[in-house]
Formats: sequence, C-alpha cells, structure tokens
Amino acid sequence: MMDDLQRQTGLAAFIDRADGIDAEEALSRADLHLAAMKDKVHKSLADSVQEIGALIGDAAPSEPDMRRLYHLSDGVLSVASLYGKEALGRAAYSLCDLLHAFGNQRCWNAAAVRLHHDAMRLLQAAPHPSADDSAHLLRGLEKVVAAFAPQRRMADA
Amino acid sequence: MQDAFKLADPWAAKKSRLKFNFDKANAMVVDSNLLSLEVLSSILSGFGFRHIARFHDIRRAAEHIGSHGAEVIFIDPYSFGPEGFDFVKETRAGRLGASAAAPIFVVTGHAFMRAVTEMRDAGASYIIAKPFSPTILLDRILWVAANESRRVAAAFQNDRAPGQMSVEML
Repeated sequence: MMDDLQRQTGLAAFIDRADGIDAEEALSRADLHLAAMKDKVHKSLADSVQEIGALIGDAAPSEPDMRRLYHLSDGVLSVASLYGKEALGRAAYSLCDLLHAFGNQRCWNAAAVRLHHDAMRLLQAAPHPSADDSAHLLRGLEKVVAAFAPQRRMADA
Repeated sequence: MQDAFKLADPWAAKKSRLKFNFDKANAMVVDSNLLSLEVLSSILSGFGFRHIARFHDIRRAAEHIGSHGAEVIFIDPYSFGPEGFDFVKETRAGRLGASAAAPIFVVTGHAFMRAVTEMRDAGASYIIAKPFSPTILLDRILWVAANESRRVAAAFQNDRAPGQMSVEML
C-alpha cells in the first residue's frame, strides 16, 4: 500500500537516498547557477524598468497596458533581491500595491506612477545605493501608496 | 538561548542529515514571467532536478501534464488569470491526467496575500512568497517530500485527495 502511495506522490521517493547530495551542497550549486545568470538578469531588470517607463502616460492606460505594468513590476520584485537589489524589489512591490489600488478604485495618477518609476530607475542603475538613501526613497513611496490605499501599507506586506 | 532552540528543532536536525537525489524526478515550472521562470528553473537545477518542463503558456502546461504527468509542480498562477486557478484545481482533481497527488507549490509575488485562501481551496500543497531565497525553497521542498507519505496515507484513510489536506504556510 505504501509503495503505491509513494509512486503516486513522487517526491518522497527521491529523499533518504545514499546516492544523494545534502542541503549544503544543493544550495552551493544553486548559488553557482544563479551567479551564472547575473548579467542576463541585470539586463532583464533594466529592460523591465525601461518598459514600465514607456507604458506610463498622462491618461489611464488601457486594461492590457495596466496588466502589463503590473506584470513587469511583479517580475522585478520576484527576482531583484536574489541579485542584491533588495531596494529595487521593494520599490517594485510598492508599484504593484499602487497599481492594485488604482485597479480597485478605477482611478489613475500618472505622477505617482512616474515617481515609482524614477525610484526604480535610480535603484536599478546604482551599483550600491546606500541603505539610508534607499530607506528614504522607499519611505517616500510608502507615503504615496498610503495616499491611494490607506488601508494597505507596505509595512503590512 | 538561540542555540537551544536550534537544537530543539527536530526538522532542522533531520534536514541537515537528509540526502536527496532529484535526478529522475519530473518537475514542472509554470510562470508567465520568463525571467522568473528561468531563475526558478535554474535554482531547481542546482538542487539536482534534471527533468524540468518549463511553460509560460498555461494551456501548453495543461496539455503537457495531461500527457506526461509530473512529480512536482511549481506555478505562479496569478498572471494567468482564472486559468491559473483552474490549472491548480483541475490538476488536483485529477482532470488533467494522473498527477493529482503531485505536490503543487504556488510561488507568487504581489498576489501572495490573496493567494493564501484561494490556492488552499484550489488544492495547493504549499504557498511560497516571491522573492524567496534558495534556502527557503529547498527547505519547503524537502519538508513536503519528508512529510508526503504520511500526509498521503492519512488522506487516503479519510477518502480525501492528498492535496486537500492542508496548506502549510511560511
């Protein structure tokens, strides 16, 4: 019975293996794989930030463009911190919060989005932004989001 | 004091001794964001997964799982809209093939807060918030693998699908 169950689930059959590796080795290999992608990821982050900028207009974007903005920002927050860009990831999260609030309230404020984009551009381009500068920038973004989504602040995320 | 807590954590002790080999496991990664898809696949490759089917198109992912199956699934369902939710639900219900019992890891970014309830109801095994570190991801994979047999056995005893037992949160 247990054999049948294990075949159905799968993963259990691959642990407790004498021919296996341990967590330390697996993590070390994963880090190597991530390091090999560093240049590609940085370029992709820069491209995403640039595309976000290109999609911002004074008028509210079309629904597909709004989805694309959210998608790009979500993509940035997903990987930035893995490559030492924690502040960029947090700024992207803040932009997602803002866009989510706009979607719920059916409103748009180009200045608030541009401010996020400017912050992301700075954080993406700076090789080592100081912790103080990043914190200052992120606090500013948090205030902007709070103005549109007072009940959902970054601190709650 | 912290050391005392570490020593008292049975999972940490077990994990440190655990050896695993995912060489022959069929994994599936589904994410509409190509960069995220590639980064996650790369981390899994580091963990030893050699057979990783990657999809940024949810319909192709559904076709693949129907014909090839998977032993573990990683998916960010939200960028696919309702189809992402349906993929998780239909897979768990066995309507997309024979992978109903496969662990399904929902790996999602900004939608994390919304994902908790929705994906639990859809049958996800575990929900992980992006950005995640490789350490967190490996810990959750090993935890699910180590607890899987017990969970499945209990589910069958209760006439429930394995994935509908619970959602373990970070």
